[in-house]
Amino acid sequence: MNTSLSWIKQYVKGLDCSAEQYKDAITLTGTMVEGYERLDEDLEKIVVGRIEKIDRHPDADKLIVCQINIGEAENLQIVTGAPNVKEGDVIPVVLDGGKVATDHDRNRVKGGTKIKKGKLRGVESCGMLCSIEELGSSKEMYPEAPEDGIYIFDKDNPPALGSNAVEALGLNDVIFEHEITSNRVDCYGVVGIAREVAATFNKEFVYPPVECKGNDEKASDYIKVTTEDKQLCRRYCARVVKNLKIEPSPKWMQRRLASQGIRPINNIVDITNYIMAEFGQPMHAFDLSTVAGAQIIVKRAKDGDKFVTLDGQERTLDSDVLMICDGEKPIGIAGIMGGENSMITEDAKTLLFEAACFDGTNIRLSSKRIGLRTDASSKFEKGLDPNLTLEALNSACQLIEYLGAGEVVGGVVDVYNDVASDSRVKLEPDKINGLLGTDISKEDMIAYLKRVELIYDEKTGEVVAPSWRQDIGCSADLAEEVARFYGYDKIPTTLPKGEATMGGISFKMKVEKTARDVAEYCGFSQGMTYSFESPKVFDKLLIPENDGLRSVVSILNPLGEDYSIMRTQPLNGILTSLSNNYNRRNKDVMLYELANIYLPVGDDSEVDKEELKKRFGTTDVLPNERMQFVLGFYGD
Amino acid sequence: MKDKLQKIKDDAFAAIKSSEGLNALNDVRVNYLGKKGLLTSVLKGMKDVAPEDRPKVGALVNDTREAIEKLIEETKQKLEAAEMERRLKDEVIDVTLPARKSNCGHRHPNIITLEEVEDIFIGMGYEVVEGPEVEYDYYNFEALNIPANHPAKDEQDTFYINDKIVLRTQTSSVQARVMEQGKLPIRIISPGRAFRSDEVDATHSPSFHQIEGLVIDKGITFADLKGTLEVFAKKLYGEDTRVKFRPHHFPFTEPSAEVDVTCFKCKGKGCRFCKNSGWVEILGCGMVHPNVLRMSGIDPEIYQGFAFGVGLERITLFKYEIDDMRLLYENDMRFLKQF
Ligand SMILES: [Zn+2]
Repeated sequence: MNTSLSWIKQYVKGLDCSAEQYKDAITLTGTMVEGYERLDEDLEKIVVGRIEKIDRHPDADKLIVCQINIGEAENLQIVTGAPNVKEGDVIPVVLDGGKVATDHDRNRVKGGTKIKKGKLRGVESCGMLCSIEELGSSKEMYPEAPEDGIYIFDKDNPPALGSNAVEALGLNDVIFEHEITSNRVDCYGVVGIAREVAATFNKEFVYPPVECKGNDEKASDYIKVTTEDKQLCRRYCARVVKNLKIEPSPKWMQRRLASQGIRPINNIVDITNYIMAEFGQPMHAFDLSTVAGAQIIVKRAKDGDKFVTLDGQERTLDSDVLMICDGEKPIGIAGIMGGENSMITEDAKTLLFEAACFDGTNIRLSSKRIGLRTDASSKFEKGLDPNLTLEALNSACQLIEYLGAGEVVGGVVDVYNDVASDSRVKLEPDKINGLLGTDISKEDMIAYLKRVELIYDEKTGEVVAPSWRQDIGCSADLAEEVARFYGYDKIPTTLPKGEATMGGISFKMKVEKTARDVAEYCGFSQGMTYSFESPKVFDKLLIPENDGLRSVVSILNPLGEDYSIMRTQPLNGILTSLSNNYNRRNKDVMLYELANIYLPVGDDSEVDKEELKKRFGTTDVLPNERMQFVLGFYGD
Repeated sequence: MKDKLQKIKDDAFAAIKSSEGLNALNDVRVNYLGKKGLLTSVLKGMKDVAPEDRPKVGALVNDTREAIEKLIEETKQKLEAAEMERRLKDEVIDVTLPARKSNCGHRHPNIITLEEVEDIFIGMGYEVVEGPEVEYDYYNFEALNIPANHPAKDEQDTFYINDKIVLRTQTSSVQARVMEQGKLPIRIISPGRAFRSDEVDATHSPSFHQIEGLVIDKGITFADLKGTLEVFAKKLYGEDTRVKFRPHHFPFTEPSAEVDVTCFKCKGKGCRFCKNSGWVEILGCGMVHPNVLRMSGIDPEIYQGFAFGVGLERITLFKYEIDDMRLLYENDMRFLKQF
């Protein structure tokens, strides 16, 4: 999960830390930072300038001489070969002694390239005009940048001359790569990480209120939602936006998406992506005019159904795949990908926003069977908070209004089948200290928990966990929360007390150890080979057709036929090792191996099948595992 | 032509008889019968022989070759017998002397490391136990608080024998087997093979080793876990090793942690090996989850404990500064000899 520091800062009041401090601190409270990238790492002395005058270079047809106003008394003279600039353009300028991110061939280089004052074909040049690539980014992330040429700021709203161009472009940012553990679904959105950051630095977490009333109409007059499969669709929320105005989204939103590695497309697509990045809640937008019968029905597909997803691919479905359908036909695979037949096109007039909560396991398995894993499915499969659904949807509509992308229709169609409740866990400070080996006061515990919005209820003596913390279910979970913010490093180090135990190894292990010693004394070195091999080894070893060794334990999903059976003899392993050595021209090779072999057990009447079935769900007995000692050698 | 062949034969016989060892004999063989040998060059001269004479000359060449080969073989056997006798005599002397180090074989680096780890824990009163590698899903997952359809099952890319029997993905499977025997307190480590369907590369192998540790008793704390692993890290990597515990998540422990130790190559300053961080991750651990205790019939209100899992290959690669995990399973003598 990638997140920019500037986005985090928006939700964490007064956060002031270096990238390194951030990385260390948040890693120690459990959100590991695997690495970070400072976007302006290789950029120095780059300011905003305006081209006041352009003259032709006296001695070179392809060069021009620009006089550039950088907010100082004197203009700067810069010679450039850029074809796309004209007088009046406001552009980024790297000054003498500054640095850009690319080399002379416009390839990104580590450490950047220093720019020095000099003469170009006899004319003095005091710096360089910059393209978006020279600023370390790309046209993908800055779609307004020209294909090949100097970046030109918006002429209607240019940044101040002489100001920092890197800041003006939002490149003074750090992108952190976080490793999110599977229990913290809430941290797959920027908001969740920001909450952790606030708790880590003990700052206030501020989330602006989400509100979007919409017009006086009612969404329920536009659309009806039915969830036929309530198990697989815990919640489905829908809102309607009319009079759509599809256009590029504003720069600030494009920058935010770029920082997550998401390419800006248009305001509607960008809003859904923005919401997914912010909350971790996937959304989908349908063109309402393509939704037959003005209704949504969420139900299972039929075995063998075919469906074309919006990437133009035909997919084969089965009855465990949940579909979003209209009055006549399927229009999307729930939680995985929408259909080509209902996608938003440039001339869509009215859209239907969907934010839903689907069963994580079902999405995970369906996406595996269909062979289609998307950003959306990878979020759903973790099991989302059903209370997030409405929040995300309203936030999206708020953005629609804010960007002027359309008219939001009033009201929400909300089908909530299984309402999530807050979980409550008794706070037992003695038990927590007893588990951690600490002496933390109850008051301190309550304060640590409050940092992540786990609120202590005086009346019941319980801690209330909000619905986004589905991982909090017992006292040990609270102990971990307390320990994280108390600091793992502050927990003392002791050794287990209690009665002394006799350590040691078993007789079998002693025998193996002796075997190793003897073999090595005699000059043999220890090899180690895989436990699985190819069923072809028996022919290679000239083992007769009906020999018992050919009865094997097979792997259902091997890495390939060559690794598909568990070995029943150690010969192939040692021979393969010898031949490896021989092929590499090693002389006089003496090897031994202590190799486990796996012999299937036939129908053993001594085993209580009933008991096996009850305990392990199968009547199959585990194979016999036996250690074999094998020597192999060649040479003089 | 016939005379020429006769001369080659006579010369060869003389050379064979005068050769004093297997190497000299081999030189003769190459000289006369090899690809660029004298007899071969005669064959190459066949194109100058009249076509109707060719079969006759061919047969003659073959006779000569066979005669030389036969004498070489006989001589070889004699020489080998003599060699053997000489060596046997040497052996007799050898046995009475202490074994020279250079004659000894070498233990696999994985096992050298493992025995070191075992000794550290045996010294702290741990018993070393083993469990099956082909294991019931129950012990590998369910008893460890990983129910059916849990995403962790996908993450671990399990090899299946059937839908209820797997190649164990972790040696943690031994935990439940030991706990359900009901003998408390428990203080064990359990080394062994584990399997995950990762393609082979420098840092992955579908077959690898783990060392699981488990301590269950009254009043065992997270502080005890920290202390124990600190002792372990210092004994394995040196007294000046520092240990860092980072919060993490595993289904079978709560609270959980990952443990980093100071990079032993640069002593924490930062180098290529530790990706400039100065730290290297070596294991995962935590307090045994109450659900896991309960499932094995242990009352979490009375007993608690900790568990940890170490990747053997990982600590071996670090210890010996080996870059590529594949080397551990190729059994190349040039590699094994270094340990
Ligand atoms: Zn290092």
